[in-house]
Amino acid sequence: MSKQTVVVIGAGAAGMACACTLAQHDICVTLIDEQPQAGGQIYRNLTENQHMPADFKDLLGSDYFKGADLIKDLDHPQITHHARCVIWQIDEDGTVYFSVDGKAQSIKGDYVVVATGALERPTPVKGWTLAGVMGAGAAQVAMKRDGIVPSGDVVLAGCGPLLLLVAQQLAKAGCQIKALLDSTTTKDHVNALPSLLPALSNMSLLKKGMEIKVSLKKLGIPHITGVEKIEMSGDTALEQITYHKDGKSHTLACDTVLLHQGVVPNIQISRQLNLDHQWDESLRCWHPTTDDWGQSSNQNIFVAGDGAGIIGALGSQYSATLSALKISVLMGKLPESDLLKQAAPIRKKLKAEQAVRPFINTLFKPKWLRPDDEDVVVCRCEETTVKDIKRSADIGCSGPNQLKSFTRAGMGPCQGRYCGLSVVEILAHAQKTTPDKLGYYRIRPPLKPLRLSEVASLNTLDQKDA
Amino acid sequence: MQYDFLIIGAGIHGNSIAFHLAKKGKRVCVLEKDSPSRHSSGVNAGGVRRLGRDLREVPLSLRSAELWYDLKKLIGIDGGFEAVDQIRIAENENELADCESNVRTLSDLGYTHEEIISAAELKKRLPDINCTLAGGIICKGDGFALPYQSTIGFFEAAQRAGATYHSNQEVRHLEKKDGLWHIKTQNHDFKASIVINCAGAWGADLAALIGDSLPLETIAPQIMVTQRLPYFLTPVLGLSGRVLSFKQMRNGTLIIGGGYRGKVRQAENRGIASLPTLAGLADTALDLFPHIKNVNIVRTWCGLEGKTPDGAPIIGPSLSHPDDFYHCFGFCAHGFQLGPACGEVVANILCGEENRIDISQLSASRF
Ligand SMILES: Cc1cc2nc3c(=O)[nH]c(=O)nc-3n(C[C@H](O)[C@H](O)[C@H](O)COP(=O)(O)OP(=O)(O)OC[C@H]3O[C@@H](n4cnc5c(N)ncnc54)[C@H](O)[C@@H]3O)c2cc1C
Ligand SMILES: Cc1cc2nc3c(=O)[nH]c(=O)nc-3n(C[C@H](O)[C@H](O)[C@H](O)COP(=O)(O)OP(=O)(O)OC[C@H]3O[C@@H](n4cnc5c(N)ncnc54)[C@H](O)[C@@H]3O)c2cc1C
Repeated sequence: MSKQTVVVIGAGAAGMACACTLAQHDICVTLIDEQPQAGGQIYRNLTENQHMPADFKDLLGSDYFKGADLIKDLDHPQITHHARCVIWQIDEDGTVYFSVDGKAQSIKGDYVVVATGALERPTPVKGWTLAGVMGAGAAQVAMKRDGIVPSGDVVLAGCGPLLLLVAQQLAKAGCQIKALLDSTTTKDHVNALPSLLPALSNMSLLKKGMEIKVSLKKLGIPHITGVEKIEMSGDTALEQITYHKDGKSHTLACDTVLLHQGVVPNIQISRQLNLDHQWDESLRCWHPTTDDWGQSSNQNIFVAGDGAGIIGALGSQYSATLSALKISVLMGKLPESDLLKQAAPIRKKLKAEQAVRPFINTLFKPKWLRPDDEDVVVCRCEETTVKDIKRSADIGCSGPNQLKSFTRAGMGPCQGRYCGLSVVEILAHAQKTTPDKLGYYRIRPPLKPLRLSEVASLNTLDQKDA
Repeated sequence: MQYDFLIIGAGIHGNSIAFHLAKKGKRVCVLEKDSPSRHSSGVNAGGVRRLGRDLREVPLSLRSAELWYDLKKLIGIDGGFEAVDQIRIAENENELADCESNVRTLSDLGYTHEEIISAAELKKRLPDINCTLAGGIICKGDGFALPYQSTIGFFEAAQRAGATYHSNQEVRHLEKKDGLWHIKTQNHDFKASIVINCAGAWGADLAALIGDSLPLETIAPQIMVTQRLPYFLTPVLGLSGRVLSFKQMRNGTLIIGGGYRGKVRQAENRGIASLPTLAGLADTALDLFPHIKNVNIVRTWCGLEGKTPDGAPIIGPSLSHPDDFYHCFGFCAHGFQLGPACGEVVANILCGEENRIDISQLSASRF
């Protein structure tokens, strides 16, 4: 029998914690990530940035450097870390196919932990495809990875903790922030109040949120809340943003707009595996259905971290540690009788992270999910507009998969990653139904485009029948 | 409501038969367990070829070619049909001999659609190709169409002609009472004089419901599609000695398919496309066109299809109920092209009208 292996996909907070815990239980781990370095979203490029000057480190914040220990622990004889490694297919039996340096390979895990984190929710508002408009998270990636920040006048628009954090980080980095157009309303604050009490059990996170708000004020960033609607315009590139508040519209000239409406689980892999998913009404997104240990509807597959439902960096670590403990039991490396004892303190910390989520989710209720303007492009790969989708709905298009046949939406290289949720929101509204009734795109390999030569290089499993 | 004809399955065959029957003024109902064009008919490679047909299918295939050319007149849309040549390449003398023998057999029967093409002529038409060319077969004016649009075209035309459709209606039970079929789905009852089984990969399951035992295997043909490329290939290519179907669509993407199959998950109503199982196909494609080695594959997919033991469809009366139950399924991964004519021929036969197209050798009685 071959050596027992667990394949962990994603070297973010969750994947790293999972790999380390498994290794501590003497389990051989293959950790796979497409990025050049471990760290994931929050701890992106941390190893390099540790050597940056103090003021740059200061703007990234102390939370960021908390990942250093996790990254250090990856240096373990039981852990093989494949960086720059793109996964393009996973089979139900736990075989994972990936490419490194243009060469295709596969590995079969006794268990697979999918820890592929979150994606920024697409925000299809009028003008979002103009040059100069991008996601706030994407701007943060450029800052962490390359130390690049947008030049000229910057406007941030949308809502969510990450939007506030990025505003603060960019301002500290010297960006000209012209305005923070926040879609959070007074009503959201009122609605969130009932969930504040349970959230108080995690004071540190709430405090952090308050600190950012105070800091934004100190940095002199105009923070305009209750923004109902925005649109960007410009001849070839972005020139201005118009926002609507209290029935009035205002226009600001700007060079960059950073949009953000929260993050959602990255479900490409769990969908390709055809795992069971469930719809989260408050966050308006799907996540794979898992048990308390992250085990999915396929018992070989675990899902941990933000990819199993948005829980934040610490929560991701805890949930992934629990998955690792359970797998250790399943692989005979931890006595079943020890499981609950070892899990208890971690589960307690996870509960504290979970306790704040209803408050955050209600306060930062996602908005701008469906553009009114019919000319807005929703699927950028195939240039499908709101009008195309509505017309398909009118002639009986019953769901996102049929929409592919009608309009090609979701059939481009991104596999629907950047339009899936918007498409479903628009279709559901037009059909007077809910997204969970319509379902999501069927995701088929390749998860990411790969070259013909890479596929051809696998020509050992000859399964043809003429 | 009591129908003259009740058709099970809204793929291209069910829709085409429904259209032709409704046009004759018959009361037609189509029941589809999912939605029209949801399975093979909506997701195939769109190949509209006569080249390489089983001899038993040739008359039907030739008639279909005529209808594809005039599709717009027939159903109001052209289904994206484009006529291009289909070429089968022989890479060595043995393969060429096979090709010559095939063409001779056809011409002995009076069929002229397949012709031998020389190596020199091939080279002229395919300047970029890298394999050895011994010659091959050309079928001028075959082509391809958009599968979903074409199948939906028949669906819409059938409705305009008066056919009634019910989606999400899975036929589960059939019973003859007082000279009428009583058809039960999960939640409705229907009545009809004649039932037509166009259930594709599920055809044998339906046949079994009325006591016909017919051999059918479910397969999951699969395809891969590349990013868009500058235009370099007009004809649709196949090989004589290796499995491949290779074409470039008008938007620049390459569609690569052939006999490499995905996993069948009939109970889950799906097939699973898998890139590693397509490795041999990619290898063959690169043999022919090394310059595309860095081209990205952006999608794969597959569909469920019925395959009979002898590779030809089952079209003909039921064994147990020859007067009022008709089969039309099991197209073995090449039934899209046959759709337009199959509907016409079956409708003519069932209405007792003149039919010049011989399909007798496709009947269920051969098994
Ligand atoms: C753009 C963005 C920026 C964020 N910034 C912050 C922040 O500054 N602070 C904060 O508290 N939270 C931030 N978050 C939220 C943050 O994602 C989580 O709280 C935390 O990082 C979740 O950890 P994780 O391990 O679940 O996922 P991640 O940290 O996202 O790790 C997932 C990893 O999976 C890899 N991966 C995904 N798909 C594949 C594939 N097909 N093949 C190979 N590898 C793959 C990715 O490269 C990534 O490294 C951000 C989220 C996003 C989307
Ligand atoms: C990937 C792929 C590529 C292909 N490429 C080509 C090509 O290039 N050229 C070509 O000519 N052919 C091609 N084919 C084959 C072609 O698609 C099929 O032969 C053809 O579509 C079959 O049509 P159909 O109507 O018999 O079946 P289907 O389209 O499968 O329709 C049958 C319908 O019956 C319904 N049904 C089943 N059971 C029940 C029930 N109990 N109650 C109600 N409804 C039921 C099903 O839901 C289904 O919609 C390809 C097939 C695939 C999968």
